[in-house]
Amino acid sequence: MATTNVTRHSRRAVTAAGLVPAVAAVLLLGGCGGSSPSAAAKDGSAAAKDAGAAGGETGASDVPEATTFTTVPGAPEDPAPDGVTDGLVVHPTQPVPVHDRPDGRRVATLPAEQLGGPTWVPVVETSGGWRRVLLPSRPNRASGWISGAGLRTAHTPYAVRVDLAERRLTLLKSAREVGRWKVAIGGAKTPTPSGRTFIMATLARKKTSPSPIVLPLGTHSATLDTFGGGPGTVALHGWPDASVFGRAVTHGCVRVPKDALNALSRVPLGSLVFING
Amino acid sequence: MRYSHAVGRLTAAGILTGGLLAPGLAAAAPALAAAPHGSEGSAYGLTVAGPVAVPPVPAVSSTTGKVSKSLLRENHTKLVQASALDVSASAARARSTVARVAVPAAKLMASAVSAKCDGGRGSAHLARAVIAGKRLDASPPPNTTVPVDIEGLGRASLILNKQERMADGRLAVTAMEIQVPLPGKPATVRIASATCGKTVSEAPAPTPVEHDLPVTG
Repeated sequence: MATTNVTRHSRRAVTAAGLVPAVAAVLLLGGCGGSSPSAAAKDGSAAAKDAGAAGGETGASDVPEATTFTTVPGAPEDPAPDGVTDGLVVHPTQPVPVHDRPDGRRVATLPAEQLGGPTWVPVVETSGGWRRVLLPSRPNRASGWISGAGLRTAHTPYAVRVDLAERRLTLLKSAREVGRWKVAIGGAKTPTPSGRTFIMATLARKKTSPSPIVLPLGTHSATLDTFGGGPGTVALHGWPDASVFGRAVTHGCVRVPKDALNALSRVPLGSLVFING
Repeated sequence: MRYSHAVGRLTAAGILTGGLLAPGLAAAAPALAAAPHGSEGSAYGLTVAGPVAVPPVPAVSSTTGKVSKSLLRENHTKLVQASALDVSASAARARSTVARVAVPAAKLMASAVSAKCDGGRGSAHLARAVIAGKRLDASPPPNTTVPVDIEGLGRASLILNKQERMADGRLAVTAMEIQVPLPGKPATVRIASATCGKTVSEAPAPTPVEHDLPVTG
C-alpha cells in the first residue's frame, strides 16, 4: 500500500508541476495563502527529504515528521471519517513517536510545533494508554497511535461542519449550532476533500488581503500536490468578494465570510472539522 | 438469612436505617491531605438505561477526601436485582462493589462484582459470576465482550471490565455492562462503576502565529 501511494504521488507531482505555476502566479497575488518563496522552498525540500526516508523501522531519523509538508505512508486510515468524539485534544510537549497501532511499528514523529505554533491534534480513539490521533500529513485521513504519557490534554467543545452539497459551514459548540454561513468550496476540478480533519493552526498574515487570518486544516487537495509553493494544504480563510459565497470556485480551500472567520479564529486548535458531500 | 452478610456489614458501619431501601452516607470526612490538582473520583452501584430507567444508585463523587455510600438492596425493576451496594470515592480513586447481583432475563448472576479506579488506572473483579450457565473470568481484561444468546429474546451483549475515557478526560471502569434485547427497546444495565483521574480543562483559544503558508485558495 505504501508503494502504491508513493507511486501515485510521484505521478501526480509531475502532473501538478506542469499545471500549477500558471495558477499559482495568480494566487500568490490574489490567493488565500500568500507566500514567502524562500520559506516555502525550504519547507518543501525538508518535506521531500522526510517523505523519501519514510518506511523505516523505529529510529526517529528513519521516519518522517508528521506535518502538513510530509507524507506518512504507513499511517493507518481514519476508521470513522464521520464519527464524532468527546472533544479530547492533545499537545505533545516534545516530539513523540507515532505508531501504526498501539505498541506497533513507528511510522512518524509528531513534532511539538506546527507552522510555528503548538501542535494540537484530536484524539479519535483510545486503547489503554494509547491515543489514536489524526495527523496533519498526507495521505488524507492519516491517523496514528501515540502514547498518552507526557501529553498535555484538553477538551474542546467546538466542531466545524462543512456541507459541500449545501456549500454551508456550521460552527457547533457542545453539539449546538452557534453559527451558520454560506461558504465557497472547491471547484469541480479541485474539490474540497471530504472526511474528518482538524484545525491545525491559526495563522496571522502580514498581508491582510485576501484574508488576515488563515486556518490550515490537517487535510490536502487530492488533485494538487503542490500549490503556490505550499504542499496543497486546505484551509478555512476569508475572502473580500462576497459574491463567491455559495459557489464551488476555490482550489480546495473553504472561503468564509468575515464574521465566520472571526468566530472560527477563536476555535481551539485540534477541534474537528467534518467535511461531507 | 439471605442478606445476613450485607446486614452485618451495614450494621457494623452503623448506618442501617431500616426499611426496604437503606441508603446511608458514611464517613463524608473532610479532606486533610491535599488532593491532586484537578482530580475527581466518582462511583455508582448500578444503573439501567432503557424502558425502565434506574438512575445511578448509590452514587458518590469527590474532589477531596473519601466519601462513601451504601444501599442495602436495589430492586426497582425486575430487570436487575442486587444487594449490598457499596461505593466510595476520593479525588484520586473510586471503588464500587455490588453483591448478589442478578439479571434474570439474561441468566446472569454473580455473588459480587466490583470495579476499582486508582490514579487513572482501572480494574474489575467478579466473584462467582455466571451467565447462562457459563462461568465468567474473575479478573477479565479490559473490554472483554461475551456474546450471549437468550432464548426467545436474541443476542445480548455483555462487556466485562469496560474501560472508557470520559469527555472530561477521566477513566471510567464498569465491571459489567449488559445490553438485554427486550422486545421493543433494549435495556442497558451497568453494574459497579468507578471513575477517576485528572479532569481535563477546556482547550485554550488559539493565539494567531505570524506565518505565511500558501494554501489552496
